[in-house]
Amino acid sequence: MQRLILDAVTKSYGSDQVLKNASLRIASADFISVVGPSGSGKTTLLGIMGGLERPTTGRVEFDGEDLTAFDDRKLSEYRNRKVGFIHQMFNLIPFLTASENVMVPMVIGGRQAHFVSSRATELLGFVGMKGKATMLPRQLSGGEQQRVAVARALSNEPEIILADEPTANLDEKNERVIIEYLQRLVQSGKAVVLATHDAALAQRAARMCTIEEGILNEI
Amino acid sequence: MLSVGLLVVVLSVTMLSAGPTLYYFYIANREGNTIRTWNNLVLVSFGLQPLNQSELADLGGLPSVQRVIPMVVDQISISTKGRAVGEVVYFVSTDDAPELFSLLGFNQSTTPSPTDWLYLGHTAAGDAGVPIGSSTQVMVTGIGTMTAMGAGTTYSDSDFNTFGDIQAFWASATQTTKPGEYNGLLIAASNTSAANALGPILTAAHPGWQASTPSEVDSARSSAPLGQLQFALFLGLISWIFGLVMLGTYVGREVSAQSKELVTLMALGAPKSTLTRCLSCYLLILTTAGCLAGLALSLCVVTPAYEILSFGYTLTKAYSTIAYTVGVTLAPVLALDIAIVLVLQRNLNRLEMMSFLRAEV
Repeated sequence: MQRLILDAVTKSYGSDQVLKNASLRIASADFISVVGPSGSGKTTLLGIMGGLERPTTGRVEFDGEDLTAFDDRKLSEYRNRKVGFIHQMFNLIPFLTASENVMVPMVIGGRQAHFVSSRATELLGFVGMKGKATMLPRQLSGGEQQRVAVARALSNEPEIILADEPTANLDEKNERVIIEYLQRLVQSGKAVVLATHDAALAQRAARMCTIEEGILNEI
Repeated sequence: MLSVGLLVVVLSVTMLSAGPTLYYFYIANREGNTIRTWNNLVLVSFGLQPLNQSELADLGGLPSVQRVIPMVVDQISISTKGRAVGEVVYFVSTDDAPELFSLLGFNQSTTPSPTDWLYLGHTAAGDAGVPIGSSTQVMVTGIGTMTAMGAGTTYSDSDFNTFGDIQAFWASATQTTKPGEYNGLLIAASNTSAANALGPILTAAHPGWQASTPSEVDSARSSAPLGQLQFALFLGLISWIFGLVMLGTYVGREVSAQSKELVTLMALGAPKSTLTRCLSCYLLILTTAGCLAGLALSLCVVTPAYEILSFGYTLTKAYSTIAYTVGVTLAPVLALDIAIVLVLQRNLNRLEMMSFLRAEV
């Protein structure tokens, strides 16, 4: 089933067009990589998919609903419930513990307190971080922080995971671990979009797209 | 680092206040117009060694010396609070006044009233030509009178604050000089070059003496102290710039961290309106902080710099005092406040989020 559809999407900042007529269809359990050099438009593409940015022209649909027509509240809800972000720099809130970081999307989404706590514990267990639930991000290694970020991305059981260079700051071992988690998510029916500049890593995905100077092509 | 920068600023400004010794000798009328310069005069002071009468007689034998007027002379380093940095004021005994005036070319046949004619050096009022306080006795007076002035002065307290070292001068003068003795000479030479040559001759021949020749006075007044002042100001400015760069770096880091957190929260589903409100509040604080820093910089450095470098007394004493007090005392406090506000703001955000989370869970 098609979940997210990008149809002839462009994005411009002033006269600079960073995304040119991009179209893509993403179904449940899709594992799509978007490979391209820095500045090619990967992050913008993910931002539009995730409702962080609005396209200049074109249409973005999620489950048949036009995201570009959403107001701020609805778009926030979409980001909170339907999308899980994994960032290159982990982006954990530095003054919250690993467990609290995982709870944030659920608290924002108004989930019940008892659920939030048990879900956070469960997710930290999933990424092998249960023993470090009370630690602050600075007390964790890069790989551990990214695992917490994966757990956080999953907290509201999103339909789509958008991973922007999730392994760029990790060593080979941790890269493997994170990719394995992503693959497990795909197996569980979630769609994963992996943006990377690493062609070898991109080939781990079932579908592969290239993006260069804002032009998206599926291989 | 910011604290170090601020400390250097304070030290620099303190250095400005203390100032280098500047030999500054001029004659002015009560309106403040300089009416005689020192082109062919040498002022000799003996410090702790009262004048030996035979030495005085010897001086008269020097070919270029036209006249020698013994005086009670000393020098006072003025505690300036922003004006007349490091000036030296010479006091001349009343008894010497007629000769002095004659030597200087004043057309006075009798002892002039100091209020009408003459004083040496600047005054506490700050405006050239206005004697210290309401009294003029100190300007042209005998040492006995000066001693009495120390006790029964007509100066106001603020004058003493400004010219705190006057008392030290009196103490020094009374210890070294008795009525009828002199600790200084005003020597008229045949011309300026002769006057300039006399200084080294006198000081070489009489160890312990100090001579202020016209060229020394000029150069001391015009270059060296000003150079030092400029250097001090340069230090102060560099320190402030350094401090502001540090503050800017800190602010930049904070903004970057805050922005990252806001973007993260947005990605996690926080409504944009809430984030915008947070950001506006933060930007408002930053703007306020920036304005305060600018104000502090202006008060701490620019105002004193303007006043000192102009080397005039264009600003009122009150304004000068306020500028210094606020600038020197308050500027570091303001800067620290800015830093504290930023830290507090950040920590408040943290506390707010943590309490929100923990209350929910």
